[in-house]
Amino acid sequence: MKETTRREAMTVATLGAAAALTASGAARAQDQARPRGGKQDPRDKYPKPPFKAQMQPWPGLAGRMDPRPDHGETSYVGSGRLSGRKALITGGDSGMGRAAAIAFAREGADVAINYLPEEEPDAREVVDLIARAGRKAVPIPGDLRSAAFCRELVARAVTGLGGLDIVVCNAGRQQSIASILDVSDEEFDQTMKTNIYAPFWIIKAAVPHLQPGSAIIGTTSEQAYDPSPDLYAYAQTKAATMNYVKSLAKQLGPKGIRVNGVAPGPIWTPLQISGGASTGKVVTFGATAPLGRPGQPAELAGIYVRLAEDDGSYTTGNIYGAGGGQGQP
Amino acid sequence: MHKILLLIGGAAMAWSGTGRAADMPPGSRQTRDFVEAAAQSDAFEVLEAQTVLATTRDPAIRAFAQRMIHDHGETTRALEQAVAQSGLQPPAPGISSDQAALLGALQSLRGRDFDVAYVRQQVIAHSGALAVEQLYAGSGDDPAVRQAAAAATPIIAAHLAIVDALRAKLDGA
Repeated sequence: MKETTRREAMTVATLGAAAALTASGAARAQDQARPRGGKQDPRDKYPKPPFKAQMQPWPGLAGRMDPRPDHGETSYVGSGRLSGRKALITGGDSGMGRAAAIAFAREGADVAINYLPEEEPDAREVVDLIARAGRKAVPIPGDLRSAAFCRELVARAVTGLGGLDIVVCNAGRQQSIASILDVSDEEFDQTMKTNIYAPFWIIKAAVPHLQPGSAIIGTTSEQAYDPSPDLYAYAQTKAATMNYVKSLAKQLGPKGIRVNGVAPGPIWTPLQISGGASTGKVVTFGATAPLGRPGQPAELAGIYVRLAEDDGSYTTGNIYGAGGGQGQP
Repeated sequence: MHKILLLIGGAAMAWSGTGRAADMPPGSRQTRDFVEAAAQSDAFEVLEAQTVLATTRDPAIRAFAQRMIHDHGETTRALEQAVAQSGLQPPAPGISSDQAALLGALQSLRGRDFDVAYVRQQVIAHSGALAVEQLYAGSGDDPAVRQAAAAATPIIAAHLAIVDALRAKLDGA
């Protein structure tokens, strides 16, 4: 690829993030950046490896990543596909959760986002973006490893939104550890609590509030099907997520509630630069994908919308992927 | 029967702690991970270079591949010496799953597509390897391994400079 093309792509992404911070700028950049219905070369649309070596303490902030991820701040255009819907998204401050939050709000939904208190700077931007879309934002910081907090989270979302009909269990813990001998009991437990227990507690608390037509979405991963050796703990939780989606779809289908999963490939999110990937992997991130680059959260926003919206009414128990050409499903 | 149960109980106790178990391999996690990453990086470079020599006719790319086989043979030996000197376990043979994906993609190409893909992969692989070597050379906790990392850093930086120039040439053609 030509150097100029890569630089241009990075400039677009950087400008996009900067423009998101000013309301009028956001609208203008949106008009210019991506004419609707056009087409772009998927290889050149976003930055490619090699990336700058970078490491943040867990859980990491999107705002401090270089390049900044694109969550659709300036590009996502809604058309009322989720009018009047009420959504709770865990991990809604950054990554795919943030892309879903922005898209849901622009499609007409009120959105509650959960995140860790350390992620407040990212979360504030999302709250602002939801408000600018003319929708209600309900920020609910807290640690999902607590069953009591998960139940409180659902209760506060229901109160804050005046109901609930979309639940996105997206928050996740991922740490790259080469050897099982180095996986501590605490690390394993933290991964299981965040990735497996929290969706159980949240969905269990939410189901009594979900009317027919509601949707539950779990973020799984290509790791569910072809695990990396250094993601022993994380990958098995994603396999479990893929599985609970199918189990609950059978259980809740007769109640008119759809349950689906999203399986991302390598996506440029804070999860990766806060211990989720080794230094060498961060620098080469996305190089293995046939598209030659990592995906950006914005490229999955439409999948979350599709699985939540009423038009997708026959889709349940299914996993939608965005893998850049590699992996399953 | 009791004895067996006691033995199992003892083993379970030895593993239940979160601290370092007695039968952990020698060296810190940082050092073991670095040794593995550096060894995989060397192995990947040699495998890709052998693929190049069997596939391409471009003299500049062939010369680069020859140099990779020579230089990464040297860095492998230096790493092995440091590992032996510090009483660490030698790294497991082989490459990472990501490297295997790249090698598989390369080996399915022919002609100019092959050359372009090799050079593109080499820019990325050497950028990653350089970051890994620099990090350990700066903050590694084993002196002998740190020295090996410090010695490998300028070699990999030189490879990156060559392959950057090759890419500029291919992109311009």
